Amino acid sequence: MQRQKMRIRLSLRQKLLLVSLVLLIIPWVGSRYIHDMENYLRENQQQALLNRAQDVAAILQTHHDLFNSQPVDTTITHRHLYVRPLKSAIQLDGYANDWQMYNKRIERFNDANLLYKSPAYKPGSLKMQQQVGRFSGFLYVLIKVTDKHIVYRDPQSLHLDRDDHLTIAMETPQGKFVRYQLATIAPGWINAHLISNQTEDPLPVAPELRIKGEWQETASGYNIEFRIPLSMLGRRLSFTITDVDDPQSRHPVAVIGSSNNQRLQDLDTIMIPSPAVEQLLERLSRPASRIWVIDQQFRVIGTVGDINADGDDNVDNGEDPAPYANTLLDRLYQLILEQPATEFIDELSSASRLEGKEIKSALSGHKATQWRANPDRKTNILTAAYPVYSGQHVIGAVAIEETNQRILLLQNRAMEILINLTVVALFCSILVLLLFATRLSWRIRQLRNEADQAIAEDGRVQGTITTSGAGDEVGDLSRSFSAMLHRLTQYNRYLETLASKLSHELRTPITVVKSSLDNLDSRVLDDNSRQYTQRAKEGLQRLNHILNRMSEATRLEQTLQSEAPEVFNLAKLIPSCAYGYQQTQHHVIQFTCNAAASTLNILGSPELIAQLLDKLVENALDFAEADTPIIIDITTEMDVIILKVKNQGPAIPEDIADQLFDSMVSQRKQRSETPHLGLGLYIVRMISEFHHGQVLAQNRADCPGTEFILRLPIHH
Amino acid sequence: MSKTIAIVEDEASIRENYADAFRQQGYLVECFANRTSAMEHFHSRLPDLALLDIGLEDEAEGGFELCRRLRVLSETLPIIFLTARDSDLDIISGLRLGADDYLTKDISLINLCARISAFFRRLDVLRNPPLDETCIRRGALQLDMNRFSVHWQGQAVDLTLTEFWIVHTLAKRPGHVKNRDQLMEDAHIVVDEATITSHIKRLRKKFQQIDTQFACIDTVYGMGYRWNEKTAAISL
Repeated sequence: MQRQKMRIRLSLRQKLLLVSLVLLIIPWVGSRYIHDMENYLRENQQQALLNRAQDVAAILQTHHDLFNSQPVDTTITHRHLYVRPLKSAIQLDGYANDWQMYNKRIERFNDANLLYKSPAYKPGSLKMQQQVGRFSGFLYVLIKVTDKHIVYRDPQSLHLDRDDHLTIAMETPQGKFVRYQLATIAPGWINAHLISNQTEDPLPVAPELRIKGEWQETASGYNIEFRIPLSMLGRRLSFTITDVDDPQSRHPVAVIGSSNNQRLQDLDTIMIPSPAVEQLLERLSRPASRIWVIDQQFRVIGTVGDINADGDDNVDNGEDPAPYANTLLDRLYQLILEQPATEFIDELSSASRLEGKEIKSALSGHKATQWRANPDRKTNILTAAYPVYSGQHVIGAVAIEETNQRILLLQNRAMEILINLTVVALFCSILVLLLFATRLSWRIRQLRNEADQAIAEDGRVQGTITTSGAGDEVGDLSRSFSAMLHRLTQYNRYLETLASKLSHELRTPITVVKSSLDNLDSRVLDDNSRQYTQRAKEGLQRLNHILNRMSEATRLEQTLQSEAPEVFNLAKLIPSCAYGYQQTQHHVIQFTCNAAASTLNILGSPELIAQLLDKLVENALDFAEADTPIIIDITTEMDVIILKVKNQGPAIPEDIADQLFDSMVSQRKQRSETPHLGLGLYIVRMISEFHHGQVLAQNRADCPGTEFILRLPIHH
Repeated sequence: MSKTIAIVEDEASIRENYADAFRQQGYLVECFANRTSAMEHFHSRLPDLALLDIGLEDEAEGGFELCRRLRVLSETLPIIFLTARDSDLDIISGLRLGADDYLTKDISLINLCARISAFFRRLDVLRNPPLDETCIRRGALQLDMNRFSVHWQGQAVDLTLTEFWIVHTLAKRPGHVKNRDQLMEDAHIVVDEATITSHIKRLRKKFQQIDTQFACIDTVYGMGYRWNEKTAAISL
C-alpha cells in the first residue's frame, strides 16, 4: 500500500501528453536537415561562383592587352599599388577630414620601412601614413608624417633637399624616370619641383605646377595633401619622406618610404585602370560580390564591387538593415538564430595584391575555390579563382568573392519556417491528442463510475452498466462489464432465492415423512417403535424450523413490497419490546432513552421495526457472556435516530465485518440448539433499508463486545 | 352416514397418507392426482369436503382453478387448501377464490383432522341449529362456538377457521397477552411468526370493514397480542 502511494500516478491524458513530446523529434530532424543543407548550398555557391569567374575570365581574354601593360618582373617583389577611385573631389587643404571614409586605404610606414637612417636617428621618431585615391583625372595623395622637429626650407637655399621634404619618383607614360620634390619654407600652398636625375645632391630643375597641394602642420608632425594629374603617370610611382631634424647642419636623419627612389626599376608599380576596363568590369559586377583581376605577379590590376551588400562605407546604417525585426516573433528569432553580420571587417577592401592559395592555383592554370573566415569571424568569404589565358599561357586570373550571408539568410528563413510549422504542428497535435485523451479517459471514468456504482459496498449488485455501442476496446470493455454484471446479478438472485426455493422444494418430502409418521403414530405401536417415531418427529420438527427460517427472508421481501408505511412513534414501541425481552430472557436487558419522545416519529412499519429489534436482541443474546447485560439505547442526532444494541462478548472478526449483514453469512463458531443460517442480520438490513436507515456493526470501545447501530431518519 | 372427503394431490405418498388417516377417522376418501380427473368426478358427485393442493402435476395453479370451479358448483362446500406454498400472495388468492381455509403442509395430521371435524361440526350446526348456544360475548363481539361464527356489533364477520380460533384465543381472556406460539397452538397451525402477523392484520381489516373504529386487537411488541376490551367498550 505504502509503495503504491509513493509511485507517481499519471492519468491517461498526462501519459499521452508525455508521449506527444516525441513530436519534438521533428524540429530536431528539421534543424539537422537545414544544417546539412548548408553544405549543399555552399557547394552550390562555389560552383555558381566558379562559373561566373569562368565567364569573366573568358571575357577578359579578349582584352589581354590589359595584362600585357604591366611590367613583368619576376625577380623582385615590388610593392604594388592599386589606385581606387574616390567618391568626390578632395579639397586640398592639408586636413585629413576628406579622407576619413577611406581610412581602410591607409598604408603605414615605420622604422621597418626606413630607406636610410643616420646614427643620430632615434627609433620611432619618424612615421608616415599614405592614402591614395583618384578622381576625375587626378591622383590625390595624403601623406601624414609624424615628426617632432619640422625643418622648413631655407628661403636662401637653392636646394630643396636640405629640409623635411617629400620626393615623388615616377615613370612618365613615355617610360622616363622623373623625380619631384615637395618642400616649403612655411606651411601652406606648395608646388612640386622637378629635380635633376643625378643621384648625388640633385638640384631642382624647374617647378612643376601641375603637382600641387597644401602643407599643414599637425599636433604630431605635418600633413602633405596634393594631387598629380593621371596623365603624368606611368606604371611606377613611389613617395619617400626625408627627415631633417637639425636646422643648422641640415643633414638628413632618415628617409622613409615604400621603395628606393634612385632607380626606375626599384619603384612601386601602380595600377590605374583605364575607363574602358572599368566600364567593362562594372558591367560584369553583381551586387554583394567583388571581382578581382590579377596579373601573374599577384598584382591587382582591376577590381569592382563590394562583398558587403550594404556598400563600401555602410552609409545607410541609420536605416533598419534587417528585412525583419518587425514583430516580437522576429525579435525572438533574431535572438536564437545566427544572424548575417551587417558589418564586418573586409581586410581585402584596399588590397593591391592577392596571394591566396586559390589565386596561386589559378595562376598555375587550375581553377579553385576557397572559403575563409574574415578577421573578426563574423562571416565567411568564398573566393572562386579562374585563370585567364592568352593562347597557351596563363596571363592572369579572375577572382570573385562572395560572403555566405545569402546562405545564412536562406538558412534562417528555412529555420523560421520550420520553427513556425513545428510549433503549429506540435500545438495542433497536442490539442488533438489532449481532446482524444480527454474523451477516452472520460469514457473510461464513466465506465469506472458505473462499475463502482453497480456493485454496492457490501457486494450486492444494485445497478446496471449501460452497454456502449462503440466498436473499440472501451466499448468492448463496457459490454463485457455489462455482461459480467448481468451474470453476477443472475447468480446473486439465484443465491438470494436459493433459501426460499430450497425450503419450498423440501416441504413436500417432509410432508411425506411427517404424514407417514403421523399415520404410524395413530397405529398400535410397541414402546420401542414409538420411541423411534418420536425421535423422527423431533428431527422433523427441527427440519421444519430450519425451513421456516429459510423462507422467512423471502417472505419478508414480499411483505416489504406490499407494506404501506405509516407514521409511528418509537418511544412506545421500543420500551414495549424491551419489556417483552425482560420478561422472557435470562439476561438483564437495560433500556435507556436520551431523546424526547416527541422526536422519535418515524415512517414505516412498527411490526417490522419490532422484528428488526427482535433479531438484533436475539443476535446480541446469542453472543453475550453469561450474566452480562444487553443494552438498548436510543439517542438522536440532528435528523437521525440512533438505536444501539450492545452486548459483552466476543468481538466481530475483521474479515467478516463487511459481509455480516449479507444473506447466509454466519460468524457463529459454536453449535447451538436452534439452527442458524445467517439470515437474521440480513433481515435486519432489509428492514433498515425499507425505513431508509443504515445499520452497522462494530466492536465496543469501552469493553469487549459488539454494538449494532441502527440509524433511522426522523419523520417530521 | 360418513362424510366424503376429496383429496386432490399429485404427490402419491402424501395423498395416501392423508387418505389413510381420514379413513381411520371414519371418513370416506376420494383421491385424485390431477384437476381433470377430480373435476370429472365432482361433476357427477360432490364430496362433503375438498382438500386441494395448488400445484397439480403440470399445472402450477391447478388448485386455484379447481377451487374456482368447485365454488361455482357449490357455495357451501368446505374447500381447504393444503399446500407447500406459504407466501402471502398465495394465501390471499386462495381465500379470495372462496376457499374456507388455507393450510400449509407442515400441519400435523392430528391438527388437520381436528380442523376437518370442526368444519363438519360447523356445517352440522348450520343445518341443525342447536338449542343451547355456547356463546362468548365481549362487548360488541359475539362468538358462537358451535357455528364457528363471529359477530361484531351484531354484524357477521366472515372469518376463516384459523382466524376464528385466533379471535377465540384472544377474546377468551381479554387483557391477557398471547404470544405467537400460543396462538399457533390454539389455531392448530404451525407457521412462522410473520404468518401470524399477517393473519392478525387480515383479522383487523375484516373487523374494520364493519367498524372503522375497531382497535381491540392490541400488539404487545416483543410479546404477542391481546384483546383490549377497554377500547372495545369505548367504541361502543
